[in-house]
Amino acid sequence: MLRFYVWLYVAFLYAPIAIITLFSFHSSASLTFPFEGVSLRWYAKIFSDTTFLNSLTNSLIVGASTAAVTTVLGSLTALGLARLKGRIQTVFGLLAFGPVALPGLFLGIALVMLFSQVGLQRSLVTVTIAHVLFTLPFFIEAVRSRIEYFDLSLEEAARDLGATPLQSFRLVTLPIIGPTIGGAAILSFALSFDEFIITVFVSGNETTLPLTIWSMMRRAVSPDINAASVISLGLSIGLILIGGLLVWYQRRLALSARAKDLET
Amino acid sequence: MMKISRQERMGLGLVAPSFFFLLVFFIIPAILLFVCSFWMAQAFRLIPAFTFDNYARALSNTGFYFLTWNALKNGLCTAVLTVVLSFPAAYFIVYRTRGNLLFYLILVSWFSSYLVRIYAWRVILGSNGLINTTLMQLGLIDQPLEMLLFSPFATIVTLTHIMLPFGLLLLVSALRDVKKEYVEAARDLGASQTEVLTRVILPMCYKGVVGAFMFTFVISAGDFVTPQLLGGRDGMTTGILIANQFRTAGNWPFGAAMAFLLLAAFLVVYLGFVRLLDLLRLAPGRRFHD
Amino acid sequence: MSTPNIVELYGVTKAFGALTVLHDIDLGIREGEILTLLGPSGCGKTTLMRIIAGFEATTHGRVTIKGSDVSYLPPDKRPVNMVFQRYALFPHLDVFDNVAFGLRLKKWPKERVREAVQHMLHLVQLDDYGSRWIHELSGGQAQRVALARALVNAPSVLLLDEPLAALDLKIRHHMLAELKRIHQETGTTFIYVTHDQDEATILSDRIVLMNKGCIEQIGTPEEMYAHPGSLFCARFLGETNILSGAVSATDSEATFVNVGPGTAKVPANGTAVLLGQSVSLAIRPEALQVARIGAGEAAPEGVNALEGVVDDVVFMGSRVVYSIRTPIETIKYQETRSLDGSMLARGERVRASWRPEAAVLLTR
Repeated sequence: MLRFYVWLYVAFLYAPIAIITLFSFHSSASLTFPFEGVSLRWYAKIFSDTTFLNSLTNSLIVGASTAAVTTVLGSLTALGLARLKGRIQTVFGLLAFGPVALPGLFLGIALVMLFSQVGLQRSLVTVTIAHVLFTLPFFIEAVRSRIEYFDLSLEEAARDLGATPLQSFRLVTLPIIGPTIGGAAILSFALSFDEFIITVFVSGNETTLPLTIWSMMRRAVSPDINAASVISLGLSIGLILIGGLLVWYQRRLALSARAKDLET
Repeated sequence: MMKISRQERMGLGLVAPSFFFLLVFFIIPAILLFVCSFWMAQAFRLIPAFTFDNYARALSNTGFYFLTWNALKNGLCTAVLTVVLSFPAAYFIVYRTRGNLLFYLILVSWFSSYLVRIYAWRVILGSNGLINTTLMQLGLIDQPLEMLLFSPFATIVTLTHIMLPFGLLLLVSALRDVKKEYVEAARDLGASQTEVLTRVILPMCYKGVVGAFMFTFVISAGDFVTPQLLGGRDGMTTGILIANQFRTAGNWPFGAAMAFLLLAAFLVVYLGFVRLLDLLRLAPGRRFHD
Repeated sequence: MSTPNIVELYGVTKAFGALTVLHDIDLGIREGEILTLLGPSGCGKTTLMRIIAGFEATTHGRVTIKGSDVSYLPPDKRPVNMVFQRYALFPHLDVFDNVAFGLRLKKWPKERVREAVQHMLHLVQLDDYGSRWIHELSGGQAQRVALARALVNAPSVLLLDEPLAALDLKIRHHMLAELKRIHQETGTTFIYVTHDQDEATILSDRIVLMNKGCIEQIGTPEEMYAHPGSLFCARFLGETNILSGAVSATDSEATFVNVGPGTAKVPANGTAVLLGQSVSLAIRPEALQVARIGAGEAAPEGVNALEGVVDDVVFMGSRVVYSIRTPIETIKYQETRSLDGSMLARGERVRASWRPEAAVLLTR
């Protein structure tokens, strides 16, 4: 019973995605059954569209910069939070979670207000700032649970054995939390790549992929939106899968290394 | 003054960059927005002032109440549906499966872009959409069902679809804290499966349930894209109105005032929800004896 | 039969997929006793207890409690209660509400619930702790609350799953005494699961020693210590010396075994042995007699004796434990520290001997 329900749940989640993907390969412009044949014409069309290609490039640039900035800020924060206790930790933890506890609309209008008051031109830079604000809480939450497992006395042991703080970080801390940070960085990229609600307020003339899909959607229901959607879906889901596999593979490596140690 | 250890000093140093980032791009903008809600706008220029006109203007307009009610309704329906639909799945994942494959399968769908999912539902629900044409081809209806698309129904279905994976994530991590032995202890003491659920599992994952509910509620009640694309004329919400003030040349202070009124409404819903759980005896930290 | 069995297991077998963790277990638990399921981890003792509690279904076999078959009853319908290894006290309820949990499910009136809970809290000596939250309790206190929460339901049998494993040594000994007192005061039947032979011998009326999903031996602690039925049993309960050799002669009164250069004589105990069969002798370290062999003195040949050199001396307060290296095996010898403080020294040549009755002949 419950098992059947859960598969229904999964089917509900994936059905719309599957339908979009299916019709992106449809040879006719119709978005209804019966299915008339397979073709790549909508992909050909979308890849000859310079607006689409530009926005795709922009999204990749923003995603990469967001992931880089978030990784640096987020890793430092997570490492710092592990060292803090009591009220300071709670207060800062709440503050860091704040941006996602509010609707994106609120963040968007607050940022646009700030940028206009200090006279900062809206551009990919302001988009990146907004995305860092949005992804940072997720990054910290994802890394924190792992870092709380991490035993600070391991670092102290390294210091005791003669490592400088930097060496103990490089030789002990990083190898242990590295895969988690890598996974969280990919998470940040994927979140940034899909972000729309805040972006719509803080972007300037250069658009990102979701903004392009949005303007296509407002014009008409046209099958090339399917193709654009599938490319966007494929990139973010593919990336998440790669990230997940990387983290999983690293953990397996670490586990099998430990198992070998135990055998000998 | 309290003494700060070396570890703590280092911790403060490490969180400092994020703190400044959040200060500049989160706290200050939020304060600025609040201050601005008391300003005036004339001919697209902001004039610093201290007036309650923006709030008064929103609160004296019946349209504002109507739109806010729509927003809250979207949020409540989506949040209830998300929690109710995800809870059994989360329960299944935590107590009935060993691996994480199913869990990951559900989480991955979270990363199918927000806009794409809205678009997909438009394709499915539209008057020439998949459901209508299929029903017509099957001869079950001869007119397309217009109420499917451009209605609050479409908005809620889509928002629920968008929120389900994240709601599930929050519920799963809450349920994981309710170790199997608590369930067994309750069974051992004579609780039926239902009693285990109401007396042990729900109170113990209270934070997760409240978190999942409120998170879903806030995001969907504050959303302006889904209702704008799928909600139709009757599905207009405060969110759309606020967004319009800022995107097209609008009245920023008025938009800011409405945003804070909407947040206040969210707070009321939060307090109401917590009170409701308390009345249902699902909140922890309560004594049942004198 | 003097005391009736309160729980009976008939041919209980449990398999998880291809792995069989319990093989055809028959067992009767007597009313009012403390019965310990003892064994190394993975021996099936916890699974057996969980089958009695109703958390696992048997693959084959039946369980009866007070004469009625409960094999298909869910845990909430069985008249047994359990103390969990990490207590599983509900963190969202305080001590009083934890203890009252079972009674409230039975819809007892408020007043009776309060009386019963207070009586139980008094029994476990936590009279004033009703309003404490679980996270405010120490390990020992949490243990007592878990006991009270189970016992307040007046179960036919109380199941205890390694309840002391999470406590430190001092509190553990104190809690053992407390468990005995509570057992005496309530008269409830206890089934106690542990891997710790000390806990088992201190607490139990009877011990069920388990190994690889089978019952190895059942008996009182004294019986098990003095007359282990197998090598496994001899090794698991207390320190023991195992000497192996072949049977050289046998008659109605005794069996003779070649042990290294000498011979050992063991009184016949009904175990059938064949000439030449390889067997083991189990001799407790405290059952040996050890004497110095002077320099140049010839090693006396003989029955029930081995010559060796003292390899190690461990002083343990009231006792001294020696390791003696003999031609076949390094054996342990334990003596009470003598008042004049004289001890054997490392490197001394000694002769270790034992009375025939001190050795137990083991064929498996």
